[in-house]
Order: sequence, then C-alpha cells, then structure tokens
Amino acid sequence: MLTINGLKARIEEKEILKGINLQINPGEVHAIMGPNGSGKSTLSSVVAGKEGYEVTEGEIIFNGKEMLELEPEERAAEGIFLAFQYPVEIPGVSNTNFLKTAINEQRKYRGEAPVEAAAFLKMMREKAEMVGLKPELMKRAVNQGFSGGEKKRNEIFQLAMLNPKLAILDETDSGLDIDALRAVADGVNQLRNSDNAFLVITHYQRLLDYIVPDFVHVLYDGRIIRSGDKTLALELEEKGYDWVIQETQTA
Amino acid sequence: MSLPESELAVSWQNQFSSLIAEAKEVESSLPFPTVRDEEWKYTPLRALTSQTTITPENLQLTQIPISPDIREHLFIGLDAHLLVWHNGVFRKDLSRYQSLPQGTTLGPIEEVTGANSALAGLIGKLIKTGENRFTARNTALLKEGYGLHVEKGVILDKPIFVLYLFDEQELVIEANFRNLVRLEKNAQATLIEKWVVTGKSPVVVPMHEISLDGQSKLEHLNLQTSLSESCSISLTRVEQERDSSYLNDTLTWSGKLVRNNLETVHLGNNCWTGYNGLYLADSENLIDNHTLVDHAVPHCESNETYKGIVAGHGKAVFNGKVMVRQDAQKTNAYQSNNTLLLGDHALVYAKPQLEIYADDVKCSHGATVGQVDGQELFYLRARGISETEARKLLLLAFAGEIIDRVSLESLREPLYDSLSQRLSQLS
Ligand SMILES: Nc1ncnc2c1ncn2[C@@H]1O[C@H](COP(=O)(O)OP(=O)(O)OP(=O)(O)O)[C@@H](O)[C@H]1O
Ligand SMILES: [Mg+2]
Repeated sequence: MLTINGLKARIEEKEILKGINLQINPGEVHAIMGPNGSGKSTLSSVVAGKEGYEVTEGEIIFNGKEMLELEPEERAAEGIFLAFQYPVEIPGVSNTNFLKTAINEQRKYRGEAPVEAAAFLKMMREKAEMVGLKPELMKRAVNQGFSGGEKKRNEIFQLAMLNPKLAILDETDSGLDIDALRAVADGVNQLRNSDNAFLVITHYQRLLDYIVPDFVHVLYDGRIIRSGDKTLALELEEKGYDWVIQETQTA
Repeated sequence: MSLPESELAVSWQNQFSSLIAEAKEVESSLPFPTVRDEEWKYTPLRALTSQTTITPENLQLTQIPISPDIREHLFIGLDAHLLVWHNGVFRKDLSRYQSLPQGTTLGPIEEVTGANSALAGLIGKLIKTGENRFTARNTALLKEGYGLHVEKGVILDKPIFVLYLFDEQELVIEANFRNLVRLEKNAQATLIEKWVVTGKSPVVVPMHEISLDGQSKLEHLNLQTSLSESCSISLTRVEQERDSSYLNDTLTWSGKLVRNNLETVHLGNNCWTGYNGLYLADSENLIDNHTLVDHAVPHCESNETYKGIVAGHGKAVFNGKVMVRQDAQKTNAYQSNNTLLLGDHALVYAKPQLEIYADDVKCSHGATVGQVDGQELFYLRARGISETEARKLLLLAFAGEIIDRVSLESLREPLYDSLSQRLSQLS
C-alpha cells in the first residue's frame, strides 16, 4: 500500500529525514517510536504533503502512485489521513460544514456524487458516539475552544468519517486521559480491516496495549534504525532508546 | 397627503427653493476633492470624475419607464415595508409602504417633508451644503430619497427595506439621495438599504441625516453588495440623544470606487453606537471607510468592528476616528480593524485615530493586517479540501463574524451565500 524508499527531506537547509525506508501493507498496523526531534512529525507531514519541506531524494508510492507529485488534498482523496499532533483551531468554520465539504471534495475527486444530507447527519451522529465526542461540539467551529483531549478525539472522529486507506496518527495519545485513550483506541480498532492500514506514532507503550502493532520502528536522527515486532516496544519502554542508538553506532 | 401631484412638486420647490439655489451656486465654486486633501489622501476620484453622467430627471425624457422584476432582489421570507428607487427615480408602483403603524411617516422626501416638519427640519441640519462638492451637489439636486419619522414609543412592526435598482443599459446615471430619519423617544426601527446594479454602473451619492431621540433604537444596514462597477460616495450623519442606540452594518463587496463616511455624535448620556463593517476589494477596486464616533458627553459606549479582504490590485482604506472630548468621562470606546491581504499587489491603509481628551475612560483599539493562515489552510487541505475551496472557507469564516453581527437572522444566510459567490470570483 505504502512504500517509502530512500526519503530525504530538509527544512530551511537542515536535513531532517536522512533516508527513510518503510513498507506498509493492507491490514497492518505499524508503530513508530523515537526520541523528541527525531523526525517523526516531519515524516508524517511530508507524506501528507505539507509545504515548506524540500524532498531531496527518494519516493513515496501509495497504491502505485507517486505522492510527491500530488497536492495534499489529492493525497487525502487517494486515501491518506493524518491525525495531527497539534490540531489547529479554525474559528468561524463549523465542524459540520468542514466535514461535509471535506467528504464531498474527496467524493468529487473520485468521481462520486455528493453525500446525501440525511445520510451525512446520521453518520455524524454514529461516529461521534463511537469516539465519545459530545454532539454539541459539532456545532462549534473546528477545534475552537476544544480541550486537548477533545481535539484528539475530533481527529479520530474525522478519521472515522473519512474512512481512509492509510491513517497516520501522530501522537494521538499524548494528553489523553485513560478513558479518552481507550475511546480513541476502540475507535481505531473498530475501523481496522484487511484493506486499510495504520501508522501510529507514539512515545508510550500504553497506546500499543490497546492498538496492537504488527511492526514497531525506531526513528532516530532521521533514519529508521531498528524495526521489530510488538515486543520491541516493550523493550524500549523498559530500557529507553540508548541501547538501540549505541548498537547502531557501533554497528 | 391631500395635495395633487402637480401642486406637490410646486410646494416642494417653494419649500427648499432658497436652499437649492444657494447650493447650486456653492457647487460651481467647489472642485472635487483631490489626494492633496488629507481626508481624501488615498482615494483618487478619477474613476468618478472621468465619467459623463446624466441625472435621473433628464433620463426620464429619453426612457420609457419599464417595470423591472424586483422579486429576486428582495430577501425571501423578509416581511418589510418597501421603497424602490429605479434608476434613481422613486417608483411608487413598485413600493409598498401604505400599511404603517400609527405614528409613523414613511415615503419619498418629496411626499413627506411637506406635511412633516420634523423631517423637513432635518434637511441641512446635520449635513451642510458647503462642506465639499458632494454635499453641495447633493443639496443642489435635492429631490430623491426617503424620510422616516417614528413618533414617541412606536416600534415598527417590520423592517423597512429600501431597494436602489439600476438597470439602465447605456447611460451613466448620477443619482443623489437625501435620506432623513427621525426617531422620537422610545421609538424603534430597522432600516435595510440595498444597492443592486444590473445595467450600466452608475455614480451614486446617498446622504443620510439621522436624528435619534432619547431611548430610541435604530439598526441600519447598508448593503453595498451588488454595486457592480459603480462609484458610490456616501455620507451618514447621526446625532443621538440620551439612552439611544444606533447600530450600523456596512457590508461592501462590490463597487469600483466606494467611499463611506459614517459619523455619529452623542448629545446625551448613555448612548450606544455600534459599527460593523466588511469590505472586499479586488481587481482595481477601491473601498474607503471613514468612520467617526464623537463622544461629546459622559457615559456613552461605542463598539466598532471592521474587517476586510483585499485581493488583486484592490485597495482599501480604513480611517476610524474616535473622538473622546474633555467632558466625555466614563466613555467606553472599542475599535478593531482586521484586514487580510491576498497577493502582493493588494493594499490597505489602516488608520485608527483615537483622540482622547478625557482622563477617566476605557478606550481600546487594535488593527491587524495579515494573510490566510498557512496552518489552517494545510489542515483543511489534508482533509481533502482543494486549496481554492479551503481558502474560500477561511475567508468566509473571517468575514462571517461581521455577517453574524447582523441582528436580523433571516438575512444572514442570503448574505453568506452572496459573499460566498463573490469570493469564488475574486480577481
Ligand atoms: N519549521 C521548522 N523549522 C526548523 N526546524 C524544524 C521545523 N520543523 C521541524 N524542525 C526540526 O526538525 C526536527 C524534527 O522535528 P519533528 O517535529 O519531526 O520531531 P518529532 O520526532 O516529531 O518530535 P516530537 O517527539 O517532539 O514530536 C527537530 O529538530 C525540529 O526542531
Ligand atoms: Mg512530533
């Protein structure tokens, strides 16, 4: 589904991604862990198409298409979704209007008819309930005045509404209380199927107790320095990153 | 009104003949303001002065009056008293203003000033003939415009909707209007004025003299939303007695050259004045808002919010003057002005001007000039919304704050739709 080969990216002359290789297949859950500043959010931004990064080498192939040539909205319509580490507040744009526009723009891209108003509202209700998002928040502007946890739930709510093929969750667990964490994880688990995939960026094993990954990668200084199965996350939780970093440097 | 039409015209002439005669003389001695005048520094009038225009009464000689379909210009579901000016001439046949509540006078000034001395007395009370060329000419051509007089304690049952429609196809009309409003104690009214140009773009010069007695309340909407390429020079002067309230919403997203002067003076304590403005200038258009709140007495409050979007080679001017005179202790004056510039050629001259001579007051102002937020834009695009659509959403959200302040709820959605359409055609 997603193949990243030799991806190098810089921002303002500073190289941040120094050759990323990653293969994600349908039905898989991958976790990326790594110290602060290692490039995790940069990787997700580059995949989603954020401006301001200069990709100097490599490719991002998603379902056979080169994503680097597409605009962010085209990548979204192809099925890539990024749950932001820091969701922005957009005053004046209501959640409902925002989501309806997003769904219809994606449908238009794929040559589908706009969603019916009644069906849309029904879906809104169902998905909001699924992630435990209070209905009154739907009437408010996007993320405006939302608590940290509500913002994160809103990301997962959007994920549920847009039903992408690949969802990248950038530290969706940070700042969540236990209940919210479980709600988010339950949401993700309900959405999982053999056709979609998840890339979960996190600092904590805790989330991975709920969303069990097939692969765990360690990103350090712009490179994936180790990959393993879910036990790698447990090991990291116990011992920290130093041993992995040292093993890489001596290797 | 018991006089027949012909006598009406004669008595009208008599009533204001000396005022008009004097104005004609003054007008010929006054040149158009130029950018050398401080008040017109950023607003060259070339687009206006270069036009060859015709006044409505001359037009009538060459044109057979036709009846346009005005329904599409009214707001669906809005039940209102209606006054219609067509190519600068009052159309009684298209207007609907007969079933007014007791104690209300409404109609074209030609019809109402004869018998209503309160309205007649307003002509020239707040606007002086010799102020500039526009005031002189507006007085010299005194004929069109409406008068509204609401007596003590009367609350108008419905808003008053004034439609100025221009569909003349060939000639550039110069249309002057003098509008008079007098609300007596405890009276309340809502006035909606809307400009619609479907033909050749005219030059319009509407001037208002508005006098609000104690505890009266007026909401006044100026919808400059379909002016096409018109030049519009407007002047609105308001005087407020104690405990009165005046709310002005000026929404401008059309016009080649628009200059609005909006000025309020407080004569009694506890007045409230609200100005909400929205301007959208693109192409080579220029929109200039000059506002003034004159806090002359204590314990009054003013709240002004102007927002604008400038694109292409458009230009906007915001000059918001708040005067707090020495006696005006305990004044509360708030002003904010935010402009989004789209592209490198868009320009705004923003000048908040607070002149405070009293010491026990609360005054604040804030002015920002910015661009569409990149983070917000990316957030929307990452959800599949095209850049064009995402920009439109953000602009609409920015401007929507002003539309949301319009207190007539039924107008908000059509205004949003109209603005949204306009934003799709930015150039
Ligand atoms: N706009 C920018 N300008 C300059 N440097 C940047 C910019 N954005 C990111 N960086 C730098 O790139 C590096 C990687 O940042 P990134 O946000 O990808 O890290 P991260 O792995 O997501 O960290 P965290 O775990 O703290 O979220 C950091 O050193 C950061 O300072
Ligand atoms: Mg990060």
